[in-house]
Amino acid sequence: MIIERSHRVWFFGSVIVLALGGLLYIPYSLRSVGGVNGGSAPGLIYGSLGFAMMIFAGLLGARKRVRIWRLGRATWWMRGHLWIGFLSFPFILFHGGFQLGNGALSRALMALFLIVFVSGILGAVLQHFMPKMMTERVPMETIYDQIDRVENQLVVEAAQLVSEASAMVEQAIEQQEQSEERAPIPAGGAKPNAAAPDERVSAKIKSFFETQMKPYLTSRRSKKYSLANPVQATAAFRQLKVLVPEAIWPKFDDLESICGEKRELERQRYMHKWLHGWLLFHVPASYALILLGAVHAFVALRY
Amino acid sequence: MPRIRTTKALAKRIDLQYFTRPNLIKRWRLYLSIGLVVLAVSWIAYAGISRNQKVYTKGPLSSAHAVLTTSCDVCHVRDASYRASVPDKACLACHDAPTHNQLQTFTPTCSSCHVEHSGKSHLAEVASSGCTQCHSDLKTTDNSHSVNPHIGGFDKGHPEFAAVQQGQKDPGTIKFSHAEHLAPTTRNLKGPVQLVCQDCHRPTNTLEPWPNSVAVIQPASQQPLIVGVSDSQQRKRRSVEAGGGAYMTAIKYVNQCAACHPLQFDKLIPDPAPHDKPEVIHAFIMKKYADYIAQNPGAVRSHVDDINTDTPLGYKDTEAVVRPTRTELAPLPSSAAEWVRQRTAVAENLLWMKNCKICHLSTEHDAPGLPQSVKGVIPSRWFPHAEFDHQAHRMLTCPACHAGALTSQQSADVNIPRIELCRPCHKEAGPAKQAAQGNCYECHSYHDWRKEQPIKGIMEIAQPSASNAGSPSGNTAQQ
Repeated sequence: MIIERSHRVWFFGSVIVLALGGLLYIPYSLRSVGGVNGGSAPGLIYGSLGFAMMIFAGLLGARKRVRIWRLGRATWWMRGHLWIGFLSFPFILFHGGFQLGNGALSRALMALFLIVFVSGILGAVLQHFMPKMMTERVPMETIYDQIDRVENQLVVEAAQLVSEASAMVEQAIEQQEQSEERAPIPAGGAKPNAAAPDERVSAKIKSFFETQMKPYLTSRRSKKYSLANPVQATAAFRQLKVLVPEAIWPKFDDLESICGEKRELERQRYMHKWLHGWLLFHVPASYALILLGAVHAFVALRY
Repeated sequence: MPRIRTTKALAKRIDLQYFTRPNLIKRWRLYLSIGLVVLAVSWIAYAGISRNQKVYTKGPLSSAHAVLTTSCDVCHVRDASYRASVPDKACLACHDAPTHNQLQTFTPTCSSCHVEHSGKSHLAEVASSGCTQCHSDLKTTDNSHSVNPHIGGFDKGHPEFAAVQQGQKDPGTIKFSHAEHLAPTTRNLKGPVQLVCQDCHRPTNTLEPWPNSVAVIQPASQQPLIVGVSDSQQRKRRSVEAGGGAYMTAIKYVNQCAACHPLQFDKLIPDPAPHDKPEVIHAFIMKKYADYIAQNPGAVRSHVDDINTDTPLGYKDTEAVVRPTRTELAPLPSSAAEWVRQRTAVAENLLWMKNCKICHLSTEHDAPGLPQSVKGVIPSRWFPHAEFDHQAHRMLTCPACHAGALTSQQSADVNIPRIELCRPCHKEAGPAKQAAQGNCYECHSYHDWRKEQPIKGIMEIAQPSASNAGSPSGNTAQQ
């Protein structure tokens, strides 16, 4: 989600609530005998507010599961998740007096909360910047789940192109042989055309595809291949083009384009992991946090 | 012909049912979510099954209460509602903490000052805010104030120590000059001597003999005071008189003065008079003379002019003393009893007018009979509402705090330091400001432990059965 002007209300609302909470915290902490205590009345209020904010932020997941219900727009819930979730952290710090706690449960809660908060901030930053970056750097972006499928299609397409290029090379060889038979080379005459292919060129193209291009296209760790580097890829295809007539060059341009697309897909895969990988920490830790937070509230209210 | 990448062509590459299959990240997110929740539930369930309430505590108990870590119910008493807080009665069951002041308008709960579950070694170390919540704007039931009603802390509004406030004097009645005793010209019976502070001022837990003590010749009531060597901080709080070196041993003639200021009253009697009440001294002299005359009957025919008239150390000739002269002497005694009476009168006159007068303010008396006993009234504690620990300050030289003593000429001088001398080292923020602690607890005690009442124990110890007698497992505290 891009944080733009539509977030102004949420932003200023959060700032006001945070300022109020902070302003009230100062006299509370100064007057607290023996330091800020989460079990005191203000401490419990801060804790309850913080936990309520956590619950609200967590409701985004539930909202996503019932998309058709008329419970407000998804963007509204996302903004609420973002800002209210952000706000819950300082309120919990006010609750605990900016300490991480000494008990096992309170420490576990703070550890989980730190994971949730930091991963959430990271996620918000990534979600703000990366989509635009991805659009710029991955014009051939596809659906993440379909990258493997597209890569397989690229292999098929490349194989087809190589086959066509080989056929064209062989055809060019035949044409060259026929023309040589009709017009034998005069003694001491000109040398044959440098781009004129021979039988080895076709084999070389196929070999290039089998040994370099296909492994690169099918690999998930493709950085080790020279074709992963656009400069080296261009050089490799240029070397091949030298061997074949100019008429076949578009095939090699297409093959180079396929390698370029593969690079983009790899970039998308990498960026997608960053874009969504933080959720592997954020979501599981959030569930555990809310569960243990409820236990903490239950026990703390008793004792 | 270059590759054609129309939207339609690109769309055709996609499997339209892709969304029905979870992707890797979503799958792992689900696995991790379930795993972490299961882990959390298992943890709480295990703690519940094994009755390990330690999981829920917000921190370790103080060292004194650590044994109760698994016995929450001892302190957390459940009331009629859901809550199981710590009522004062739970604390008072073991600690009969006396009231702070009879005039207080507000009594905080025990747990509001003594914050548990913070792993402190000393639960009595309460925050200053516990005191200043009242003392910053003190109110009493009768609106009277015996202390400054606006004290916000050691750094905020704490008044000067009462003992060194303007016009305050040492209440002692002993004539004493610190400067003269510390001067290099000071002499004892053997010759010049350089006294140092420690010759007379030592912590109560000192076992070293006093260099100027002649304890052996003194009665039991005047024997040197030796208090227990080791003592806990808590005991110091409760009984400053028996402090573990917190305070200086009270000044007593027998410990600090006797070696240089003996109460020798007659060359015939080698023993000095005891440093005691006049009645005791009178009885002592009479007995000594009676014993002497019984052993030396011929002495009856002698005058008392050979009595000791040496000037005692510290005696100043400028002081007016009624000296006995030969013309004033009574006629020769007619009997041993008369000799004893005459000799005693002269000896006592010398003692009262010379030896005693060196230190005591007034020993003269016009009326017949013995003089009134004049108490020294040397304060052993200068802060009646606060405590001070000399042991904790032992790295300092004595003059570092008591600089005035080096030049003090009279006992009326108060030589304890002013509060300004404490403030550079002791700050409210304590170690956070690279300073020594400056909270109220350092010097003041909320509870008046002199009023502490004995309590009846309420807890039992699970007795080891015969089969496992001797095993250390039978120490569970139970209510």
